[in-house]
Amino acid sequence: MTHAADLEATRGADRAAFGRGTWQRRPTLLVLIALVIVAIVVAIALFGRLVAPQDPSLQNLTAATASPSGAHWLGTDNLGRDILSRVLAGGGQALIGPLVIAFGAMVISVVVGIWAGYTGGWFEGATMRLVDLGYALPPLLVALVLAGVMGGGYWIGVAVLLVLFSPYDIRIIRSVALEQRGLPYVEAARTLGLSRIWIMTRHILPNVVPFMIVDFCLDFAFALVTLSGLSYLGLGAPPGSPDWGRMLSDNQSQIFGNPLGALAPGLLILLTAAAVNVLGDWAAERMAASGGMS
Amino acid sequence: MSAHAEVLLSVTDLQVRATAPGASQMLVDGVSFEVRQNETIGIVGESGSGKSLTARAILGLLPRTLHASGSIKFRGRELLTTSERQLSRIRGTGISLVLQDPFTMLSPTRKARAHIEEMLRAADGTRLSRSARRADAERRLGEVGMSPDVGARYPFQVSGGMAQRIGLAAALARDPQLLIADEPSTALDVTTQREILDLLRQTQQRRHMGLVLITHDLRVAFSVCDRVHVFYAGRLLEVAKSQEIMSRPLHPYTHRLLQAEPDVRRRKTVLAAIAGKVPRPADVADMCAFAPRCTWVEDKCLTSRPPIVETGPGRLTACVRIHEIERDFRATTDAHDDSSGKGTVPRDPILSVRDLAKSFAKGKAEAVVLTDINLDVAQGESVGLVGDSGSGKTTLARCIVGLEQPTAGKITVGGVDASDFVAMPAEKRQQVRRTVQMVFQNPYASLNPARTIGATLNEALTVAAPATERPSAGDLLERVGLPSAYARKRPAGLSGGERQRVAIARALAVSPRLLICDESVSALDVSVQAQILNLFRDLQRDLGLAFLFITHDLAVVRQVTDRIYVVSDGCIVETGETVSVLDNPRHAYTQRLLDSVPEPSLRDTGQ
Repeated sequence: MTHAADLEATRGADRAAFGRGTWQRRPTLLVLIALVIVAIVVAIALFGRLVAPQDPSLQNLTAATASPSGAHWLGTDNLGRDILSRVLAGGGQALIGPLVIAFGAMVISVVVGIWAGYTGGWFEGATMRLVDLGYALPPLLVALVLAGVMGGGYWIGVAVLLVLFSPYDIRIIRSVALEQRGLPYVEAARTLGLSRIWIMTRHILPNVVPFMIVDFCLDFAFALVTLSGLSYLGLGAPPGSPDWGRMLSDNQSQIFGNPLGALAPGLLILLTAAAVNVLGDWAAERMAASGGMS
Repeated sequence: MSAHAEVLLSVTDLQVRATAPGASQMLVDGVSFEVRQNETIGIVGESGSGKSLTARAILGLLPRTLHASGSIKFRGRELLTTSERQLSRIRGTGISLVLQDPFTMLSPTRKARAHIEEMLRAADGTRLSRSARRADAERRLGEVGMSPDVGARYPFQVSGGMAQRIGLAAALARDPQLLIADEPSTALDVTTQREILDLLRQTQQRRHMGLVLITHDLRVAFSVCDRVHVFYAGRLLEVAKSQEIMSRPLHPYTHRLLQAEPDVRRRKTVLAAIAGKVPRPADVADMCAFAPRCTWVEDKCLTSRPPIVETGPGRLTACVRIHEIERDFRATTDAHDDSSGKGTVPRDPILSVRDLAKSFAKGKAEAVVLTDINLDVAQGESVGLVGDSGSGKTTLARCIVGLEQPTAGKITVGGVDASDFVAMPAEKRQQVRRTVQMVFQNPYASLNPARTIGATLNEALTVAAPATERPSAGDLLERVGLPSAYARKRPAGLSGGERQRVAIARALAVSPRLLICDESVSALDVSVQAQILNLFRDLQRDLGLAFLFITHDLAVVRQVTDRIYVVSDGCIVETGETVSVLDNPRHAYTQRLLDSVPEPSLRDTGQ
C-alpha cells in the first residue's frame, strides 16, 4: 500500500486511540469558561431589562458617582444612574448589532462565495474585483466617516459594517468552494448529471460550514468591538442610551470616582468578544475531527 | 551474503504504541529482525502492517503520540535509549533514509547540489572548502547516474526519477552503513521505477551497505532483496529468501497474497482475493493476526498467538499449522487461462472516439495533450488504456465523460454525439451520462466526507432513468458486496476498498453500459485490489457492462482486459488483443513498459 494510505491508517489508529471519550471530544476548561460567559451574556441580553434592579435612566444627582454599595452594586455614574441596571439593560443592544452583522455577512458570503467559486466565469471576476475594493477600505475609518456624514446612529453603523465585513468572508468561502470544485466527489456528481444548484447546496455547502462558523464568530467579535468603538466616539448609540460602548466613554471621566462605571461595560465587551472567538475555534475543530472535513 | 558479515542493525521485540491519556493502542507488536553488512532485506506489507512505523522507530522519527519499546541496536548500540542529540549524529552517517515522494524530501528553494553539499564533511568531521564540496557533490551526482550540471537545477526543474536520484545522493552523502528506503519507487512511473530499483541495488553492492527496502509490492521486494520479511497487522509473519518465498511460501497469508496478485505474463483463471480487510492489531491481539481471513483456521489459531519459529535454514514462519496444511497449499496453485477472450464476436459499439485532440492553453503557448486518438469500446467488452503518467490517458477519460472539452474530433457514446457537452441539449447529455460513468483513482477523495453513503447513492439514483424497477441504495450496496446497513455510515468510517466499492455503486446507480476506471485499483492493497478486480469481472458477466481500464499496471491489464491501447505522449502507439500485445510488443514504448515490470531476474543479472 502506498505511503499515504499507510499514514491514513496510522491516523485512523490515532483517531481510535484519542477520539472517543478522551480529551479531543471533551471541551477544555477554556472552552467551558467561554461557554459560561456567552451563556451569561445571552441571558443579560434577553432578560437584562426585566431583572434590572432600577430603571436604567432614573437619575439621582444626590447619589452621583457613588462607589459600589448595597443599593448600587456597581455604584452610579455622574448622573446618579445605577451602573448595574444600565449594564443589564444595554445587553440586548450590545448583541443585536453584531449578530445582524455576523449573520448577514455569513449569508452574503455563502451565497456569493460558493456561486463565484464553483461557477467561475464573469461573475467570479466581477465579485472578486469588488472584494478587492472592499479590502482597500479600512472598516472602522469608513464607518466613522459615513456615520459622521449621515449623522450617526446605531443602525447606520450596523449597515456600514455589514457591507464592509462581507468581502473578507466572501474571499474565504470562495477559496474553499474553488478547492472543492476540483475534488473527485464533486466531479463524480457532475458526471452523474446533477444540477449545479444541487451540487452547490448538497456537496459544497456542508464542507464550507466549519469555515462559516469561524467567520461568524470572528465577525461577531470584531463587530461588537467596532460598534462599541463607534458608540465610544459618539457616532453609534444616541446619547443617554445604556450602550456598553457609550458607557465606556461617558464614565471614563469618573474613572477615579467609580472605576466600575467604565470597567464593567469594557470588561463585558472584552470577555464576550474573546469567548465567542474561543467557541468558534472549538466548534470548527470539533467538526473537522468528526470527519466533516478531511 | 556470508553469515559472518557484521550485524549492522538488530531489532528485537519492537513494539510501537499510540499512547494517550487513558488509551493505548498497539501498532507494531513484537517485531524482530536483523540486517547485516552488504545485505538487502525487504519489509513487505499492506497498509496498517506497521512497516513504515518500524522504519521511523529505527531512526527515532516517530510522531510524538507514538512510543517505541523493545530494542533497536545499531552496531551494538541501543538506539531507543540514545538521546536525540546522539541520534542525530547517527542519522546520515550511520543510518540514512530515502522516502517515497522525492519532491517532499527536497526543499524547492534550494538547488539540487545544495541538498548534497550541506551533508558533506571532511573525514575528520570539519567543514570542507566550498570548491571541495562542489566537486564532491558533482562526483556524487555522477554516482547516482546524473551529469554534474543537474546540480545547478532546482527540484521543480527535474523529473520525479531525477529528484529521487538527488534524494538518494543526499542520503548517501555521509556514506552511511545502512540505508532505509521507504517505498522509494512507488510514486514514480513504471519505467522510472525500474531504474531507481536498479540503482539502489547497484549502490548497495558497490558500497557494501546494508539496505532495508520497505514496500507494499511483493514483485519489487523479490527483484531487489536477499531476504524478505512479511509484515501483517503490526506483526512479522514470515521470513525467507526471496526465491524461497516466491516458490514456496510457508504462511497462508503470503501464499494468498501471491495468489491475489495479477501476473504480467499470464492471466490467472481466478484471482484469489482474500476476503475481509486487514484487522487492527488490537482486534487480533491474542490470536494469529491472519486467522480471521485464513481458510485453514482452527481453534488453536484463535486461542493464542503463534510464535514465529524456524522451519528451515533462515526460514521463519508464524503459522502453527504449517506442517499440516502445506500440502493443501500446493494443491491450490494458480491455474492460468491464456485464451484470448471472446474478441472475435462482432458487437455493437458503445463508445467510439475519432481523431480526438486536446490541448490546454499554457500562457500564450498551447500544450498539446492528445492527438489523433481513435478508440472503440464494444458492448460488454473490457478495454485497457495503458501509459505512463503524463501520457494523456486521464485527459482522454475526462473528455469522454464531459469533464473536459476536446479541442477537435468526435466522441460518440451509445449512438449519441457527445463531442461537445456544453452545446448538447440537456436531454441528450443526460442520456450520455446514463450510458457512461467513471470510477476515480483515489477512494479517499471521491466520496464527500460530509455526507452519508446513503445520501451519496440516493442522489445518484435521482438522476437514473425513470424505470419501473429502480434499485434502492441498499440494493446497490449489496450489488458491490457491502451490507446495506452501510448506507447510514459516513466515508470516514470505511476502509479504502470499501470506499471504492461505494464509488462503484454510485456509478452503477444510473445503470450505465460503460464504466471508465481511472487507476481505480492502484491506491488499494493487493488483497483488496483482487476483490475489486473480481467485482469488475462479476459486473461485466452479470450486467453485460463494458469497461475502459486506465492504468499503468500491465499485470492488471493482463488480468481483466480483452484488448488494449498503449498511449505515449498523447498518441496511441499500439493496439490489439491484450494477449498478443503483451506477448509480442511491436512498439518500442510497449517493450519498455514490459521491461520495466520488476522481475526476480533483476537480482541475478544485477550482480
